[in-house]
Amino acid sequence: MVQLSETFLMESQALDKDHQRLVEMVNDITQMLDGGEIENCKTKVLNFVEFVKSHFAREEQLLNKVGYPNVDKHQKHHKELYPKMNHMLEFADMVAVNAQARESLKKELVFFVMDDVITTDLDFKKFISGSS
Amino acid sequence: MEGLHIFGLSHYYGAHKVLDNASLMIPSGELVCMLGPSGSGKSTLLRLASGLEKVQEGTIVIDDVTVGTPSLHLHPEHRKVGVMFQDYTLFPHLTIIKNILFGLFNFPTDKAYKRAMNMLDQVGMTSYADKYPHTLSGGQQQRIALARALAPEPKLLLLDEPFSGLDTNMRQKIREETLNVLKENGVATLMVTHDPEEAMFMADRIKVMGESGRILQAGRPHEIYYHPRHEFVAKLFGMMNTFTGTVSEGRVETPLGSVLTDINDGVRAQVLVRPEGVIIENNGNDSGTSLEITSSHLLGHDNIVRARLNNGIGGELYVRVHHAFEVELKKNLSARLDPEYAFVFPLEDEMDLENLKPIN
Ligand SMILES: Nc1ncnc2c1ncn2[C@@H]1O[C@H](COP(=O)(O)OP(=O)(O)OP(=O)(O)O)[C@@H](O)[C@H]1O
Ligand SMILES: [Fe+2]
Ligand SMILES: [Fe+2]
Ligand SMILES: [Mg+2]
Repeated sequence: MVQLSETFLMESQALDKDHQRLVEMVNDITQMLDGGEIENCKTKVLNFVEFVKSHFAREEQLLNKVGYPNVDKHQKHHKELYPKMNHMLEFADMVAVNAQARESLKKELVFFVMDDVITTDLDFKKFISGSS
Repeated sequence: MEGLHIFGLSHYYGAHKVLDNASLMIPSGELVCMLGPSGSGKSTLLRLASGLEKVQEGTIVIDDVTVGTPSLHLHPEHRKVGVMFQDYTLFPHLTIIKNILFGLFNFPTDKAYKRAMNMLDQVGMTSYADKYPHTLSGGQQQRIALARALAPEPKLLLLDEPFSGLDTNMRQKIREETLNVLKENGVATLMVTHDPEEAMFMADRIKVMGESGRILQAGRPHEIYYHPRHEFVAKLFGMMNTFTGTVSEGRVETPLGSVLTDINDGVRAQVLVRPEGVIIENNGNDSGTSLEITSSHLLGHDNIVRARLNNGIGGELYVRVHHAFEVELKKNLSARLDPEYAFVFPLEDEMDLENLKPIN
């Protein structure tokens, strides 16, 4: 189980709510895989990917609104994460027949959410908490 | 969250900014390898995480406990961190078992002894308990160092080029053993290495650092190797064949064939092709460019072949071929590229990365 402790919070309700939801989705998929329930995995990973994309859009909009100077850079970072999501979907296709795919998918999801998505967002925490 | 979470670390030595807003996260049980040029701040980051250095800017959290901020500094012995640095040697005047017991001052005596023997067992060194360090080989000392680092049941293990003093065979053996022991103990591990192949072998995730602790790319070893996003990352893993061209209709032409790219048309680009991405074929067919081999070096399973393209432009090519490919028995060769091993970057990208020195 991954948990969002205080240090990961952005001090922006909207973003924290999204991040919390991402973490829950990852935990849900992980638990499902650990429990050997794999039928719904692909759908759940698809939902996850959709939610990530909508979150990126919301976040970029918010950053624009508050005049964060490095929006372009952060947007580029979000874009660079798309291939990773495609890869997760490929793994999700394999989980029924390949134990390695299950392990890699779990790992990838955790690193993705905690390191690539949330930790990188902390770059603008200071900016948005100061501007609100 | 269990594991290590570092964010927004900036660090100065005098006026020299060594880390600039560096962040990373390692869940427990996972191993992250950090690769980067000399002087990029890797050891500084480890020293900060271990508590040997005080945080100037940013936050370090281990297993949900904040251990370092500019106003809070938990001492190394209170951080549940094990360290294994290259120059962090065993105490020469203490026996092996006493070396390991040293870090177990918090444990009751009988429990400490049990734990120390158990760790020695894990690294296969119980029979050396009463020996002195100088009577052990480099690899054996390294095993003891690992046992000592893990004995106090740390939540986080920090390894700074731990195997660099070992020869190739021993290195391979010890890193495999280390990996087993680490996975068994479920600690979060952050390891710095200069050896990209070692990183690929050991890591669940690789972080490539540029200057000032800037993360250039993070991902699974496969991703770093096959989908590098920067020229510097692509070049980490050894020599590359380089071609330049202008993007046209979503492609760049090279003498070995064209490569797809999503870089805009009209942009000057470079194509980097790994030596294993050049495919040599017999009896020059239409799809490739004919070539002449100038030398061949056996690497064990593979050969590295140097060749010259007969396309009037010249330029040397490095090709990795199967060992059964005997240059002496070949004629009429041609070459084409395998797009999977070819990476396209805009030439402008060179600007902010050109100051990076290649790592050894
Ligand atoms: N105690 C110190 N005082 C002053 N400068 C330092 C100190 N320690 C490190 N530096 C400088 O900080 C920079 C980063 O050093 P660091 O040892 O973290 O690099 P590194 O990435 O580990 O390099 P390498 O790969 O060579 O080990 C270097 O320029 C180094 O000279
Ligand atoms: Fe976010
Ligand atoms: Fe983001
Ligand atoms: Mg160093």
